Amino acid sequence: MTDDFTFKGVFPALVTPFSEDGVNEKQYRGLIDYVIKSGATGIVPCGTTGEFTSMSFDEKVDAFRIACDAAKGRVPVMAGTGAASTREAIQLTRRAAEFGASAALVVTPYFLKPSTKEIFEHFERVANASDIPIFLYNIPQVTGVNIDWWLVDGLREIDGIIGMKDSSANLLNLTTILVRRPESFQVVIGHDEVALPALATGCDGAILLSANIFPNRYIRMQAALASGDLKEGLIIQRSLQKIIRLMVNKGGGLAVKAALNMMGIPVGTSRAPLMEGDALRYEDIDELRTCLEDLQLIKRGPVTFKMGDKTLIAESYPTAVGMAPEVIDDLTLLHGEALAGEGLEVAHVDLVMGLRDGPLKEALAAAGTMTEGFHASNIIKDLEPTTVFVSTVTIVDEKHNALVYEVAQKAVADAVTRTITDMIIPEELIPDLVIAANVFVHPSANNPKRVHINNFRAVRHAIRRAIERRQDVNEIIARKDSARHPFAYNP
Amino acid sequence: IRIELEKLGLIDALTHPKVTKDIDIQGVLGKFGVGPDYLQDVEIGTGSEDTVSVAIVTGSKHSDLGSAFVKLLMNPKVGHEALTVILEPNLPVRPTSIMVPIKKIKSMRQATLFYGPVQSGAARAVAAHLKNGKVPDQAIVDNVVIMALDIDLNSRNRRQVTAATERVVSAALGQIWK
Repeated sequence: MTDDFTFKGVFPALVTPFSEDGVNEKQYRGLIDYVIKSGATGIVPCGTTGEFTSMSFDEKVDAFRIACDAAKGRVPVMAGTGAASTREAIQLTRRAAEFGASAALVVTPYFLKPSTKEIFEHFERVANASDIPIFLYNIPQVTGVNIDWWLVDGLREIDGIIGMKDSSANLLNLTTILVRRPESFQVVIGHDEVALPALATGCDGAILLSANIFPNRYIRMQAALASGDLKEGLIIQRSLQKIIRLMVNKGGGLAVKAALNMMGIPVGTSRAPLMEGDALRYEDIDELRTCLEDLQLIKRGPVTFKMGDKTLIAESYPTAVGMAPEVIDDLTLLHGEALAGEGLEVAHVDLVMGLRDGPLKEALAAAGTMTEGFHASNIIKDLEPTTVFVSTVTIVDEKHNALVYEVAQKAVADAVTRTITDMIIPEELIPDLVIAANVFVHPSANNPKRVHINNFRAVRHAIRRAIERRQDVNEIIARKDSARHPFAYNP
Repeated sequence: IRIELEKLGLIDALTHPKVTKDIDIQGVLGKFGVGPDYLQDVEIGTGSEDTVSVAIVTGSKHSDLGSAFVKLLMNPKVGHEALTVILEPNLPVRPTSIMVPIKKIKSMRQATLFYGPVQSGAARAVAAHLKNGKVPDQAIVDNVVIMALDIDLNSRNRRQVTAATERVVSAALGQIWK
């Protein structure tokens, strides 16, 4: 058995593009090409992010075949060959070896949650039956089973087990493992949110979900740490933390797929029960897009705005695939709705926008007037395009008043300004456009910073949805039965 | 808690006025700042049951109804605030639609009834209409929809309210788009 596999750099835990009847080979190869070109030093097919639990045995074998062929001569393949049963893990490992995988990543048996002795047996048997070296895979948050450091003490003595991927984000356990291991036992971090501290504590590399998208950033992070430049490493981490947190916590592979699709690297959707709109909420999709824009991973291109017989072009519009239209042909009255955040600081915005000589002039006419029994609206000072603001909740006290008219209103202004710097609206259109937002701030909201963040996000999303006509009719029809109104049944 | 105690017969149920059977949309919207001038070139549909009734008015956004739409959203009457018709937050229906309560919302219970089961039922009715291909393509892009709804605030069964709302809105839509 060849034990000479040395983990270097960062390997994406590849998402698996699916077609009607199996793995979508064309898209899979496209993805593998992309990650290798973007700096990945290896690939992991059929990991957690790869939705291996939704795949049949044959489909997984097919994925190994494609991955090994696409990566041949370029980067090593560490195949995800874990399974709930020992027999299946052995068989998968064998097939992966046949196709040329350099190593196998074997998860602890899950669902039936074996005992320590059973885990030990499992790994021993898999290692004995395998021609390629094995990496243990610890991900207790989904398996229900944790590989404690004292178990690692024993497991790493088994012939054929040369390393471990830890996705638990449990730095206590991880640090102890790192401190106790001989140099020959390789440990890689599997949880994106703690990649920096894990690498700084001595992990040899990383297998990450977000490395599907920007493996190069992690290579730079590792280089910085290797040369002792912690500051540079922190800067890189800071630039990635939000998008990582989003993807890891809101759907995993589902979120990565949404991101890749938006970037123009088609990988299809996830298999049921995972679905967009649920674990990955619409709010998350919009937020994911803005993160990708900030990382300059969304192509920018021209979008045409038709104003009567005039044609205006936004040259550098962030044209997220599947979200941005090519032409916006009617600027009379656009309508967008958005909810962002949670708890008492949740923001809900209903927004209309359009040319100032159209229906929006009603909003302008009402602004600044006070009518008995009606909520007063106002035009936000020093803001272009002209934006009207109204609160749909009656002000209850001074604190609420401040939250609405200072914090939330500022958030609306900030979001409008940001939309301009995002280059969504052609400059020449700005003087003719009116935006009108009606916002909700809960009377018991407390946290001004969160009120600002949520209202900023909601307005930003609402404007984009108004312009891009989202969600579209197909989405409405598709979600007709699965949509869950939060107040429909809960009192 | 109040609803559950009422169901158990441990406290007296609050009684509220009955549901308006035939909604006079012109009159209702007139009180909310949108007079009959706004409702010239429109189509109207109505539906009613014991627990909920609705009047729907729709027309091109280019007509005065577009202005009415903006006015209701941006100059809302206290207690009768308009809200987008959504299947769930971040998933509004098309054509672009808002709904207003006919009876003033005066408590959290009333608010969650209206902006909950009623909103959900209304959205489902529109989505079903879309699914059945009953809404003309032109209307999906061009129209605005304003729904005025009256609900029986005695209702204690949210599922029943959702289902009833879906039925009456569907009936009303059926009068407009067959």
